[in-house]
Amino acid sequence: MTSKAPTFTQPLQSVVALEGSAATFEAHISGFPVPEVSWYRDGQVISTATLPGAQISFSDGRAKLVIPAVTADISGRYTLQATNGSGQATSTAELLVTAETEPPNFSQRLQSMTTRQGSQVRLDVRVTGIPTPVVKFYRDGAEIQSSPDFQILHEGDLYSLIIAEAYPEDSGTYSVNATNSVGRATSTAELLIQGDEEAVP
Amino acid sequence: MHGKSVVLRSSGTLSAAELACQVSEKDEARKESFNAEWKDLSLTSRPEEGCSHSEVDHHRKETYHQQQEAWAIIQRSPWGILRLGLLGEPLVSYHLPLPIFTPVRLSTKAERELTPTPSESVESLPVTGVCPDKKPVFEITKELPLVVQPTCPDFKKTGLRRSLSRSMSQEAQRG
Repeated sequence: MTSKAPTFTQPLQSVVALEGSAATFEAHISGFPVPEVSWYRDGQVISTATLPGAQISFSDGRAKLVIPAVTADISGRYTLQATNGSGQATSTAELLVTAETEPPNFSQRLQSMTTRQGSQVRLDVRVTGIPTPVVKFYRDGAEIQSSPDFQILHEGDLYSLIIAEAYPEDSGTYSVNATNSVGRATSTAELLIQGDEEAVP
Repeated sequence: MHGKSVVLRSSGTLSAAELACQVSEKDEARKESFNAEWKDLSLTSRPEEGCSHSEVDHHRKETYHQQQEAWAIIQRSPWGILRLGLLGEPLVSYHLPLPIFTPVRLSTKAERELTPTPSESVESLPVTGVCPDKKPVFEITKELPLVVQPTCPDFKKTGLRRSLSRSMSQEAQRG
């Protein structure tokens, strides 16, 4: 068999990976004698010290680098170098690490309701999103600040507005707005408090 | 803001695109409505130098070099599906949140208050996920764009403040 310089039958391809998930670079190399391969990140040799958990393999002309859990700080350019006596081949590709993001969503929306004067009213919503959305309650467009009479509670993805004792003046359009870095959502409903003439002295 | 699509061009060619989605629903009968807008699909151009390969054959005195632009795609959705990949290649879908970022043990506030023993601290809980390089969430979120709050709405009714923090109006009503 005559000697042949290394060539890539399949070069590296850039990878977009979610933070915390695995990323794999793979290339196919031909050449004789079988080339020696080495990996670099931004020009630095990759080892278990510089890239903990990295798994490097090379067999049957397939060179593979597996990173089990990527983090933002290992984004960069990854280079595979294959060398034998006849020559050298290098292939470079990027690792782009993305953080989890999810726009706000209401798994439970506000519901319109009618109730009698003096009763306790509880308006519940369930909101998801990454990063955790900022959730605000509004009545007729004005933000409601939590107070003993209009208490806003937050428990996991459940956000509640509790009106200790509802009066006809509390009737109106209530809305909840959830905002994070990638989106926002608003749920709106009406609250009607019916007056009770007999109860009023 | 989030609902607006943006396409960036540099010297005539596309360099990045942010495509937005909007949803608007209205239930007249129930007097309920719902609105949402979000950054749905981000398309970003990567420089040619990021994806290249070269070969040198000393014996035959031949060289070869190739480099090409790549397009990164990130697509988000409010129902927790994130799609990632390169334009022209199959995208990988993730269902968020990934298990490694969820708390080891979810408990209600009531439970936490009932069992405030030191052994319940986060550090002492068994690790269920495998992620040697795990970063705290704030390390990840600090790199995200700032959350822009909705603008403060006008207080059209002067008496609104009082009716929301009722202390005065309630007493007035009761006489």
